[in-house]
Amino acid sequence: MKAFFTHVKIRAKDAFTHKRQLVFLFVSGFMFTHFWKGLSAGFPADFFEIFIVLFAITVIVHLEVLIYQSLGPTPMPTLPIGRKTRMLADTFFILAFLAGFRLAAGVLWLDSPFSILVHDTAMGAVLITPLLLWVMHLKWQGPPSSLEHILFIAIYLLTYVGFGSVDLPWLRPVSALLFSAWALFRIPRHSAWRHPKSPSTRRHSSRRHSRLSRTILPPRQRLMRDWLTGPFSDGTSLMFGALALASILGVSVFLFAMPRFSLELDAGLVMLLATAPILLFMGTNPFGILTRMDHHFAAFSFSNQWGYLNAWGAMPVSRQSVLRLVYFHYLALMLFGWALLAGVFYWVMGSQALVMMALLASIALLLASLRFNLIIGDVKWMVMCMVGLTLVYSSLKMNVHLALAIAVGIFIGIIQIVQVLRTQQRNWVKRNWVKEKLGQTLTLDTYIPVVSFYLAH
Amino acid sequence: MKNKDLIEVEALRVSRGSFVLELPSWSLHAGQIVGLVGPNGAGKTTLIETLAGLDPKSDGRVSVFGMDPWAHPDKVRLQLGFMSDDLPLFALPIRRLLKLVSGYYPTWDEELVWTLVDRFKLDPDKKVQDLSKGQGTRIRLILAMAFRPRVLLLDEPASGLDLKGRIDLLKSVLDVVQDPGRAVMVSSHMLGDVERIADALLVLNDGRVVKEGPTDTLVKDGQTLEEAMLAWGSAG
Repeated sequence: MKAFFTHVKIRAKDAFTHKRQLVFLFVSGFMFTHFWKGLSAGFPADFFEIFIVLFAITVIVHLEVLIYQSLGPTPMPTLPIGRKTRMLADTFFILAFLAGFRLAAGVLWLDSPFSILVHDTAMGAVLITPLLLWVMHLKWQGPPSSLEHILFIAIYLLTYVGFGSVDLPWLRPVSALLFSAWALFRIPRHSAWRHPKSPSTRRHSSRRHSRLSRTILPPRQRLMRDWLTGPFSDGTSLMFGALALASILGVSVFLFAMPRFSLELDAGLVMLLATAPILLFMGTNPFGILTRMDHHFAAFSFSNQWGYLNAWGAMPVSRQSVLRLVYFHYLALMLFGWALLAGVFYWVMGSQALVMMALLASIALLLASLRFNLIIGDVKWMVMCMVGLTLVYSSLKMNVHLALAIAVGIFIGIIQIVQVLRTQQRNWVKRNWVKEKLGQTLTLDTYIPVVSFYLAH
Repeated sequence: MKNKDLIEVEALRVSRGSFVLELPSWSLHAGQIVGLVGPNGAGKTTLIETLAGLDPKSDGRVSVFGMDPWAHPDKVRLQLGFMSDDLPLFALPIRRLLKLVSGYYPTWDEELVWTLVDRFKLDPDKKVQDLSKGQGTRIRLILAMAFRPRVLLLDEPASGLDLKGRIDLLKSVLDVVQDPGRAVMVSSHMLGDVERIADALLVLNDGRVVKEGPTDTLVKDGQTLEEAMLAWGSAG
């Protein structure tokens, strides 16, 4: 227990004495306060709200990485604190801050009775605990593509959506406790510093030699082959590939065979959430080179340390080829996501569909750019994302499509420009590529939402 | 366990895939500097990380200060310094990193830290991620020594260090064992450096102990450690 409190104390002291961290914590606090009600009352039946809540959760669980910009899978493994204790202390610190902030904000600004405020805050904290614990485990332990991780997240989300429509208020906290127990049971008290799949650990593996012997192909063909077959290089991937295919077929039926078929919103949401892990898995694994990336950024990761460019750096393939293919990967993925939404949500039509497509396309580009190691754990970037998404959310709530389109456009545009500037600073690309990238940024990414809006009208 | 034994190993077995490290019996006494040498893949890093409680053992007994380092990492690491050139750190400015880490150790020696920062010529305002390989090694060394651990385990501490850096490193290691209650274990391919400071050697090859004992006994007069290693067939 002493190590636990020492860790929390050091974390808190450090976070509160550095203004960058403080700003980040407060923005996270504000963001979560805004969505806390939805969290405690069950996930809202609105795609954007779910998206932003999940995004907020992801940001929150990356607080440690963002604040300390940890290097490696287990930063400072030699600290005198056990692995499990450290994870629990980190989770406690994040939860305590968010709950405290929510409570203080509630007392100061919200017009609800104190008892309800306390109840909401406690309920929200209980419900988010398993996810925080699990993602902490995922981030530290991996492997990110394992079936158990995906199942945990899928069942967790499905449970909350499913239980949201059942009039049994005790079900969700009870299930949250069960999920917490599952997470606590699975988090090892201690674990090896080096990840079991890290290259240094794998050096004695009997599979090592087979991995080294690759078919000799021209570099470009190899790149394409790996992009196509990489995600399906093992059993789990194959299974999820099959599931994804089944989902595509299902969506096709919705789209073409029964265009007017409409589901109840809750059922649609369940379907969406059930397929989200597939999207997540497919999306985080272009080329199937997840195992070559750093494991502390797992499936929920928005960034990685080695990145695809680094992974392909030694190959005689141009950076642009890798970039184009990964961008294409994410675009295809997000278009698939959009098709899924369009099929499942009968209300996604006309202008909304176009704006949503634009939004998803922009997100795809964003994800791809993050994959390129351009914006690793950058607090400024994260704040910008949160501000941008809050703008998007607010625009949607007000049903102002133009505001939405502009917000998305400005948001993505700024991010892309920052990204290009950072790229230039890093000086690992040719100048003409930067120009080309800047051109893309100003034409494609920024204006897609705006053009979509006008087309829709 | 004898009074002076800081680390004691009995029938240790560590399996990593097809590789197996076996160490029948070995101990590290207070006041000792042990050189851990052997070719690539001999098991040096595996052993040193197992002793530090960073890697689990498969079988046998490892006792550090009378405790299992895997079961009690919090207690053991308060008195055990570990350094490896690929040890992941928080990507913070050096000054802030040192301040942050200092909170965990009651024995943190601020004066020693700044002496070492000065000796290693590190800019305290520079971020860890902006350091060169050699500077990264130096900051990791400082972190391992800053709380005056009773046992210092160094895995390739000379990696990336220039000549001046290596001399400073050797000085710092010798400073540690000025206190007779402390001990150091150094794993390195810089055999000249190891020979210069190590009282005892532990020579590994393919997960097995090839030689073990005082340096003066193992390396004959007029012979260098490199020549001895070649003679033992442990040069790689």
